[in-house]
Amino acid sequence: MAEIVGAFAASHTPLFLLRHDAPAEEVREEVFSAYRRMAREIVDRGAEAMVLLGNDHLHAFSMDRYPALAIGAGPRFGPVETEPFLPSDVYEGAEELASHLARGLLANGFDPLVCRELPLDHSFVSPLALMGDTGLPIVPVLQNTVAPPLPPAARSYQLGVSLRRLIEGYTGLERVAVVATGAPSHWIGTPEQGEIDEAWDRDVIDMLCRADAKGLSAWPQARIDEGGNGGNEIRTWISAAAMSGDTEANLWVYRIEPLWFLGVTVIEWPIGPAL
Amino acid sequence: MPKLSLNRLIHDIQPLDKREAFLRDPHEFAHGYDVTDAELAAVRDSDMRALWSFGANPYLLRVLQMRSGISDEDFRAALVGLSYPRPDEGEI
Repeated sequence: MAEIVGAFAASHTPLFLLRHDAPAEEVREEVFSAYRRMAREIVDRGAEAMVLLGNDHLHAFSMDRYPALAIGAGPRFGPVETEPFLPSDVYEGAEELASHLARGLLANGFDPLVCRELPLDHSFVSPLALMGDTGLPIVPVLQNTVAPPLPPAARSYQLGVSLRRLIEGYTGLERVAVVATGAPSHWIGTPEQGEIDEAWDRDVIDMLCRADAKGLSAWPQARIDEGGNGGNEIRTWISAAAMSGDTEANLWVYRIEPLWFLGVTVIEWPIGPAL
Repeated sequence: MPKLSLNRLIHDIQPLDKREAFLRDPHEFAHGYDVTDAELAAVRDSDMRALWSFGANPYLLRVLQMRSGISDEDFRAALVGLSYPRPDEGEI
């Protein structure tokens, strides 16, 4: 049976690539080294695949048809063509693990769109680019954070609980890592674009560091909206927290960088008993 | 539904080649999309304030901003006095 050997959350933004060298050197060093450290930890712990919890910013899906939940179950993803500034990399898919998760989610009350082909955007590619090549196959799991109506954040917690059980019931691999991408507060394409709400960010991070992802998942949508439309991405963090057993998260980095429109955050959860 | 058609149009011109085709002949490209003349003009002109009022998804506005070469300062200036979420945010 597989075990989760690491659960992490890390911000994503196209601006990591578009404005890679724009921030001060100390900022870049602090942020980029944290992503490299995350990759190193994942590899050193012997992970054989990564489950990536992210979203799609209306590249793979349009407003006409946008799934609440989708899982990439193909043998590969790429070459990336969704956004011109992204590296046109190809990522190996952990196809059998993805199929196992898809079947299991369906059996457990979720209705994921199972994608044999899935264009990935910066949600996945920007953190992967900073992590460097781990050589690990991936399973992208996408939640709707951009096209109303959005699923309630409580659903994200339930998803994480279910994914944990499914991974632990999988016999095809022994060790799997989890990386949730996105968040915290940011506004994209809105009048507030570029703003960062440090107080909101700290509230979110503090709850996760106090092992209260469940409480975070109970935030009403109006509270989540206070973190901008990008704040909806805390759903992926909530799922990762639930996958860890809602343990006390360790904050590796919280660095406000206006040029990146973010308080860039990297978090790790120790793996506790399943919920 | 006009809002969905508008968002579909903006979504579909995200690839650079599609954007170029759209700009060459917006009316020809938009054939089959249920958008008003005002909405079509707003997309053609990257009129962010008009597109916001028409219900364009913010993430699509961001891509349009970047493709159009509009600076972050000019983008925010175009939307001054407005705020997220819009009153109808969340409605289908």
